[in-house]
Amino acid sequence: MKRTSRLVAILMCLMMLPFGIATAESAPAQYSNRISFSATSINLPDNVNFMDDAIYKTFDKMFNFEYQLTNITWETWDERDRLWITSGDMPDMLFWNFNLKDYKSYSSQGLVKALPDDLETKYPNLAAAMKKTGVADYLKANDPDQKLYMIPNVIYLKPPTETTDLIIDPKVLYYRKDWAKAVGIEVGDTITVDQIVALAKAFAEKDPGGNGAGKTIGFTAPPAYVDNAFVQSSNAFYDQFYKDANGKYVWGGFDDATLAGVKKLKECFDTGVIDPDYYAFKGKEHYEKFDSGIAGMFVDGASAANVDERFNSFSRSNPSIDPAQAIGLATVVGDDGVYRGEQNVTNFWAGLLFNPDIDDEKLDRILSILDYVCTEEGQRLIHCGIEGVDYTMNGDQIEITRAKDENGNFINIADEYPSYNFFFTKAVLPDDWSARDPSLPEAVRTMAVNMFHVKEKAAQLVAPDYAQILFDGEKKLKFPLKIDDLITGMIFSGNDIDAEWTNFKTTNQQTVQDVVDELNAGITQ
Amino acid sequence: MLEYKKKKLDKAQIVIGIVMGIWALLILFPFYNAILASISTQREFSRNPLMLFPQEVTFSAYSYLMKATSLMTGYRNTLFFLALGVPFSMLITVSTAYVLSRPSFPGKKIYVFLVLFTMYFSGGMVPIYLLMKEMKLTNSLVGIVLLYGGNTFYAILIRNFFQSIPHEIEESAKIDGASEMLTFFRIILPLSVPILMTVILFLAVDRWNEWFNVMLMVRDSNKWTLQVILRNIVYTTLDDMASRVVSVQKTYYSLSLKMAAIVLTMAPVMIFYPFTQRFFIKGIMIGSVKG
Amino acid sequence: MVSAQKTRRKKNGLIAQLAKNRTVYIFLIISLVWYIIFCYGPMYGLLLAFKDFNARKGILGSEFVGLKHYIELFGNQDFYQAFRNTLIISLERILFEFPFPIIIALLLNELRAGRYKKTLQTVFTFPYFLSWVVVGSIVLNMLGSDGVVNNLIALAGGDKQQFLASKSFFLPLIYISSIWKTAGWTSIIYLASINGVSPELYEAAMIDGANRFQRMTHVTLPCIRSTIVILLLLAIGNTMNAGFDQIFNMYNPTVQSISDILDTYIYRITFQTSGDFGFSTAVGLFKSVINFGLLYMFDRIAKMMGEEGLF
Repeated sequence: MKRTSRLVAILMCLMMLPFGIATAESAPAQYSNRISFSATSINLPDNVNFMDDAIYKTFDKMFNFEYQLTNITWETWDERDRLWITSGDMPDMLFWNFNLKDYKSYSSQGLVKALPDDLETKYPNLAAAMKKTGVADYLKANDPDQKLYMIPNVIYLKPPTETTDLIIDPKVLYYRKDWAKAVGIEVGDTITVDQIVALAKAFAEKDPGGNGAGKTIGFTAPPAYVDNAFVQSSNAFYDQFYKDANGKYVWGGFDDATLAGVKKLKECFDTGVIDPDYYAFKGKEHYEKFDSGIAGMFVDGASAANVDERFNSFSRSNPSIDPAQAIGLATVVGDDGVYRGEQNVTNFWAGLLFNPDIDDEKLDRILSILDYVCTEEGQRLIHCGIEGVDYTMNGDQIEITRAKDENGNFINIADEYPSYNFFFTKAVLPDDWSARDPSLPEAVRTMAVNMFHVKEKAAQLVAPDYAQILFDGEKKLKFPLKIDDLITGMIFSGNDIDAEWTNFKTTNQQTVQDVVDELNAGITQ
Repeated sequence: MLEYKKKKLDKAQIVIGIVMGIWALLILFPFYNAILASISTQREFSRNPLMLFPQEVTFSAYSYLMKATSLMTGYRNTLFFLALGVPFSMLITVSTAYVLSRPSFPGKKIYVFLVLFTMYFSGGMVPIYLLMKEMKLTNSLVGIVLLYGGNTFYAILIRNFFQSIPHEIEESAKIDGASEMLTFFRIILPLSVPILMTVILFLAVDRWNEWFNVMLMVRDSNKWTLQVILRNIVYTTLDDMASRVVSVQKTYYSLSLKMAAIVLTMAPVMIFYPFTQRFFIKGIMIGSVKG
Repeated sequence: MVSAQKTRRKKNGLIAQLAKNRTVYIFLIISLVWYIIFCYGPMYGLLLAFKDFNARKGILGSEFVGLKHYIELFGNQDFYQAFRNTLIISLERILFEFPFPIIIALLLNELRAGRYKKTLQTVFTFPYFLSWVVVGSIVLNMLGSDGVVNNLIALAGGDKQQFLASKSFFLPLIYISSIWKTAGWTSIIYLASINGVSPELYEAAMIDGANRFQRMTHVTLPCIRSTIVILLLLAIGNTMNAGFDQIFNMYNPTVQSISDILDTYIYRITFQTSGDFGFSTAVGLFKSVINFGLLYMFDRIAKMMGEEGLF
């Protein structure tokens, strides 16, 4: 027995040798020094080893590193980051919720590391991704030392349509396609506010969901999304500062077009088709109502990932209905057929900050890793896994071969490879991949991308006004008015909208004027 | 032991009993509902949220939680935190209470002011964090134990109780030659058991519920307490980020998972609490006055 | 032990006093050490209320800006509404919520000792363990347009109400749900206090012919009076807080004008623009000063009325 086992052991060692040699050889000489860094990431799963799976190991082979990950939860994200940064206690790399005031404060106080000047030449893929965000260049140009201190995470690196990055996270109307068929209404790719009301009325009256008289809610959504459909369709800038026809900054909240939108909303609300409880929604109630078949429509984001999640959520509550048959998407347009949903959106979300005392070799290694993450290869590794195991290449086409669950959907790649949870939100956000992710159902991808095309045709999209978005005037940064709250208050006040509007304007006249003056004085182009 | 309550129930007791019973039901129903949510399927629960009993019972939420989270580590850390935190807090709090309860001595007025002042004025998160960092107490549960130390509010409650102990008892002990320290341990503390148990319970529950400071200060997830781990599950999104969240979240927590997490945090306390009621016994004063 | 009464001359001198109270001083030192390190140690952070925080320079080195934060705080219209609401809500909480735990404790005390009573006691404490996030959504569910309450009202032939958008229902709803959640837990304190009441007093009262209600009001209640006073004082000292957690999770824009308290107002305005530590410290200091001032004032009033105060 002993001799056999010793033989086996020797044989196994001999088998390992080629691997050992291969490992030593495949890491480039410049990375021969193994480094270790600490980082934070959002919503990391519990109870797993992030250095044990094939995705990490592949990265490790290329870049020779270890990492210690700290989980960040939404609840305390901002506070923790702020506390750690200001007390000089931050990890090597921090996943940070961008905030202009803090950015200026941290950078001027040297609390975070400045990115190297040769970033563009040394890490071209990373630089390209950062360029796509639009803000990286702007922040750098406006920094007193012309330095950049954050890597913004790009949302769409390879946008599925030409102007996706001007739309980013489109809000669309999700509606029960099967109900629409049942009540005999055909819904196209675009829908006007009046058509929404008509459809909602039909849902409520004819009750295709079988909820019982008066139980069906035509349209439901939290206040911001209600406004997005009913108010913003009249005025794209209802919640923003923008340059008017005279080239002067004004606040969209005071526009006459906004008043028109609010009146429209009140009109529609009074018909009873909008959920009477919407004012109290905190953010997820509309999903529950739609999934449980009480409500026939809601408004939400339509990135491929979101559409997929909504489909899944619906399926979980309605396992016998095919979501692709039951759910339809439509873009809400004004009566003139123009789409006014997205304005001044930026192609990035959150960013990566680095500890000011991080040593150059470590930073270089991390940036190299991020650079690889920004390549198509890197993205494919992260989102599809290992070639030959989880997917195969059919020429240009990726064919996913990983296991499926009992509902026929591919299992979550994060379950298979925990390190995915770290890599998938660094430098490039997963929206990018989800638009072309072969593991998402065809219907989902098609519907989501279609919405981008529809909006392109129906909208007058303009490049974001970075000067205004990233303006750090004191009054602007402290601007307290939340137009959605104010509109909701007006709708439920029980008073005449015109009276409420006049009151709203006079009360807030000074506050708005201060910011407008500051903008006009501060931005001179 | 003199029994002063009649053995039979009188009308008032019945009425009170019923009223309290109704109040109890009003409380129990949402809990019952939450427990049901944690053991039923999403499909059934969303159809019939006010059900009395699910037709399909499933414990998948609990088994998922056991597997996917470091639940056991969380329980262990919380118990550790309790085991250290409650005695330490009692030490400081009871000491404070005792000092507050004594009649005037040199420096008492200043002491009282110093202690009460801290109930209202605090330096804030930043200097606290810096202090902890300096003392190398960040990223450790021991640090948070020390940080929590005394609770002025509870100290005042205990002080009150100490002061209500009749002076004759202390006087007679003194006459018998007992030192103040002895009086404290042999007479005052035993007589104060109801309030002490109450404060111990309160302190324990405070520690059990604690998550905020642990989240801020403790970085290693293997040191996290139960609440922190389970809050990750129950509160998966911050509403201001709702639209961004979907694409950056890969795990989905259904309602039943959230409810199961809530049940797991509440259950131990709700089971433990009745045991402490033994200490709220009546008539504890009688023997002392007579003797 | 060394007698401190060696000479009558020194009997009341300082040394004598110190020695007489040596046990007290032992406990005092134990307690004070903790307070000094962990409470007074960071206390200099209060200075931030008058500074613009610069992390590199540290709290002490940051630039002094005088009353800048306060000018900003008081310069905004919404502040006054929030301040007013805070005062009103705190007062109403004391009027409506404060008596409940006492009532519950008194009633529970009247029940015959046994399993039913113990069960009730336990059950009453359950809601305390739920967070307001959860309770808030329960309330919304129950009081929504298609919720349990409205359905019952409809059955009884009444009109459905939008409770959470109603300026007249909203605050009562806050108080009722707060009672539901915390009264059972707070009653524990009173129960502990009631346990300290000597049974002989009840006997004497019974002998005098007092009925159950009279026993409650003439024996139990007076005996726990000092506990009630203390808790009342502490509640007054909490005026500026008014229950952020609950209100934040239950309020919505339609009732903002009556439910926006100082803390929710501050949360709204600083959430977007970042944690300006100087500003938030200034607000905290303002609240603390008012709370402490109220506490001191009412403590003196209590003392004048013959009660044992806090100070």
